[in-house]
Amino acid sequence: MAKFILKRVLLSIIILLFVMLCIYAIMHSLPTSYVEAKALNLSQKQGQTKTYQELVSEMNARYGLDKGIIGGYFVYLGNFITGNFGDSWYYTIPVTQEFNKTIWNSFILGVISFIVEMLIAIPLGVLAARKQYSFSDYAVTVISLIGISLPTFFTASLLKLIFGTKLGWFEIAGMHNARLTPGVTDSFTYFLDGAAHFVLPALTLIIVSIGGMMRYTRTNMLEVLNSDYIRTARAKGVPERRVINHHAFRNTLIPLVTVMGGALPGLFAGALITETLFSIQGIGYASYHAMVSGDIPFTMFYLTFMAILTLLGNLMADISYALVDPRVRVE
Amino acid sequence: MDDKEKDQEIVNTPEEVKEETTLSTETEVAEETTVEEKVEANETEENSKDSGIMEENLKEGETALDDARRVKVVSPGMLVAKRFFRNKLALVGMFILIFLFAFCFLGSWIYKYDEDDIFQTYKEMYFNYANVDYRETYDYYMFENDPEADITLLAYINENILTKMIPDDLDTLPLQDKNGKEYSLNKLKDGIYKLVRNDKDVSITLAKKRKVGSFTVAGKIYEDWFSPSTSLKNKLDNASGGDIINDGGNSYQLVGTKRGDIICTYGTPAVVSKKDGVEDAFITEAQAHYEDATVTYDAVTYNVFKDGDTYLIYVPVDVDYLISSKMVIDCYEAGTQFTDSFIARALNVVGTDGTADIYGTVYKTSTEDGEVYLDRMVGAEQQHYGIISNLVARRYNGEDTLTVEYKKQAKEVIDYMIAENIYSYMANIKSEKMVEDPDTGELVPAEDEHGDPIYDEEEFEVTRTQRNFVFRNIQAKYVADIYAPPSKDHILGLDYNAMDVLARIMYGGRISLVIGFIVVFIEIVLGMILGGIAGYFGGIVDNIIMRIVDIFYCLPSLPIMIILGAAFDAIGMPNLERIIWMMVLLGILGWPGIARLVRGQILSLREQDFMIAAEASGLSNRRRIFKHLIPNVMPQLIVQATMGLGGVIITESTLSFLGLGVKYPMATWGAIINSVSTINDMIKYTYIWIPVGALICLAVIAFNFVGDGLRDAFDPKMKR
Repeated sequence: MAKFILKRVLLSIIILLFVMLCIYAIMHSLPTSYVEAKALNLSQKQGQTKTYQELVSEMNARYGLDKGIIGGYFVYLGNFITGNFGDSWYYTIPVTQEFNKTIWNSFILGVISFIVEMLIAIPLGVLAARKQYSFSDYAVTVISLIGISLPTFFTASLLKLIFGTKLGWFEIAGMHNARLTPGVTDSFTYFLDGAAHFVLPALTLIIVSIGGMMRYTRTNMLEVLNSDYIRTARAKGVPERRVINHHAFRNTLIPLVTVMGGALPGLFAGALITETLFSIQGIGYASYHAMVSGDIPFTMFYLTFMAILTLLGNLMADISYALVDPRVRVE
Repeated sequence: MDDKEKDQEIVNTPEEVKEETTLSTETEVAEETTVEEKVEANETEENSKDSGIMEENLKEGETALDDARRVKVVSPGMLVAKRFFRNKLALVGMFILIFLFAFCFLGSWIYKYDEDDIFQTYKEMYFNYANVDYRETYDYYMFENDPEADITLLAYINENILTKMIPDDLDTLPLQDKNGKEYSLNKLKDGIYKLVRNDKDVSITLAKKRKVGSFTVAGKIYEDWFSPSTSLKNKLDNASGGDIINDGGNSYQLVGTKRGDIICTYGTPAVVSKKDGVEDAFITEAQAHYEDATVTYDAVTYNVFKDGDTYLIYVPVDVDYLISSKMVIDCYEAGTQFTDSFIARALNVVGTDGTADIYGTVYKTSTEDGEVYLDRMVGAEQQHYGIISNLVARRYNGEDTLTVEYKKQAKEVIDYMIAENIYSYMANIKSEKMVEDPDTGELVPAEDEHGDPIYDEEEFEVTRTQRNFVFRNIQAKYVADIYAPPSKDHILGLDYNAMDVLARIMYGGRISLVIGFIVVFIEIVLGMILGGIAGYFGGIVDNIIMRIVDIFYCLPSLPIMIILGAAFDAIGMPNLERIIWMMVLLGILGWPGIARLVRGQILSLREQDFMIAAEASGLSNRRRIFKHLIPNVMPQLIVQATMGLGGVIITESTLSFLGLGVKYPMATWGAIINSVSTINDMIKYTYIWIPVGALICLAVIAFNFVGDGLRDAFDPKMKR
């Protein structure tokens, strides 16, 4: 097992190096005029302690943009490995500091919606599979297909319009009411206010991602229900409840746990569109504004971070698959 | 023949045959046969060719051709189609798609409006018509433009009048500019002041004391113009620095020791310069009285100005420099523009009650019923040319094109309002009728057949803020009809650019759908080639290609598209180029999924019997891949492509929604929603974005329904 993990990790690192090369190549091929214009723009930003010249020379020193792609890549890689990520131009603080500030908001949002999603999607998926071709199966299929098809921005806008404006139940933007200050307001009110701001973003994330999970559960449950050991169990006269809960569901959990394991790192990735539309100051929100305003240090770190999370997700999916299913032999 | 058999086998994938023969339950067979039989009647003819081959095929085998058997081996394509059409969801999706394509492609062709037609409308609205106030500040009008004028002096005239002359009731105020030139600001009348420059017409300049030469110890050097008498020259030659030499009534002082100036103090002031024609007697007179305030010669009194040791004998001359006034000239010929120098001269006429020839016309002034008029001499007749008052009535855009009639009525209104202390008032004022110019679309005064203006009695709402009065009336303005709500002409209303939303949805749909197809095409071509190579050849090739796939899989595509979109924005890339880039990039970022699918399929197919048979019969690689493998991967590819289309539409609309995709004026579904991007607009103009959003959802849902239906139809394993 350890050997398997080690092998996978090494492979992931090699892939990561090439992913970083791709990211670097994209950044390197941006028109110089664009980069310089953005640097000029951001050097005049309030709170910016660096001058335009400093930004440009820092950029060349850190990303080797004045060198060729390969030469520059090693400059960037060297800095990256030694943990030298630089200062964000847009936020005017070190990149890692800004990440640290925002990542937990993303994580909370991600975890809440992930848990709720699982709690809804798995039972419904199982239900649909158990009663295939019933009304509930069709309903689940249609709902999940619609969920997959909804664009995030449209869902978010609709929710804002309905629950935020027309009904006025939840807050539509930001993280906290501006009138409340932490420390002054009592912490429970403050918490409730924060929760009210998180409802719609979480709902958006759940709606757009629940369909996939439901379908996945249904498909896997169907597969299991059609397998020989279920037929055997039924033939033996095992009660239907026990067949479903004990025999079928447990086996359905194998692919589900694999997917969940793979999704865990993604909880830190933030939700680009949702966070931006609801002004939740998470990774997605921060990086959207950094990317649009041409903040190269932040963007480079963000892209690399995303690639690492994806690789980590794959790795964890593989590992959890091997862990959960004893039939899988690791060689 | 060999090949034909193989092909036949490929289409009937072993799985399907197995499922049809072994897994069909009793009821399903019954159902299938009934449906089958119905369709059969229509199909027999079309299928005759197919079934002909099949019969041939079967005759070689051992199974007899009976009805039950025949049903099971009907053309696989038909089987898929049948299964597909039995799926209600897939049918719904299919109809939605057909509707959408008809709507976008035929609709935009039939529909009367284009995507970039801008609609305008007459809107009845309160429109600021005129701005009226009594001017209390003083503007200046220079008689002749003076490029060297002292800006500070000019700028402070208004303040000098308001804070010094009016409160202290001064008639004249001396001023000086930065060059030391003297001016006096004289009051002509209430509201009209004249600044005159006090020039001196100098006749003689006398000097009491001045430098006449310079000396050095090594030898006296004198200025050319100083020609001392012999006795003085001797004295000077013998003198040294500091000495004072008296000669001929003048005293000379040598200032300095080795090198210095010779300063002469005259007994009688010397003439430095004089005007041409000044007589000697006058000079004598001036030399006698230079210390007095005035010198009189030939019955003319000259002033004396002492500047250090120099005396100027001069006659004061006043030069009209500028008129500073709060008055304006409201000319009877509305719209006449005056130059500053004309205004200065005209106001000078009014202020002095004089007569002047200004640019060839004689102007006078007169007073009638308390109004002051500027008159013009036409022949011998004196005609009113304009009214002089401090009432400034202008069109709201600042143009002085209101008629004197209007100005007079406006004056009455605001006088009344000031007297009664009213701040808002509805007034009836006769004003010229405005019509739209057919050529330019601007509002111009209407004229009757004689070219005289037509008047309208109109109601004006006059509002007052401090001293300012704004006249507003209801006008029908021809404006871009932005955010017009749905109406009979525009079923979904108009957007921010006053373009028809329905037309934009149709045109936008075309682009969104076409982008989807092209991106998916690129993905499939790349994915099929690379996935196919990896799966077929295996080994190191497979390893390398799959690692490339892993790398592409890790690239976060939406962030990359956002960064590039922002960069395209910054370099101002044209729309068409953007779309092409976007499609290529989305295709390049999207192929790994397809490649994985194809590779997986080919890996499993490669091991199957028919492939072994193909290899055994010595078919070339190309033939094996394109004739035997690819057709078997096709079903999954078609499903993936259909589902992928929805994904691309979502990505494209998200990018356009963020403003980083396709740009105005080109329409795509996302870009239409982007035109109401702020939350306020979203609340107010739901009729713009909800239909578009619903269409995006509908399209994606339809693609997914169809894809799902196809998957079920191709892979009946799940249909149990």
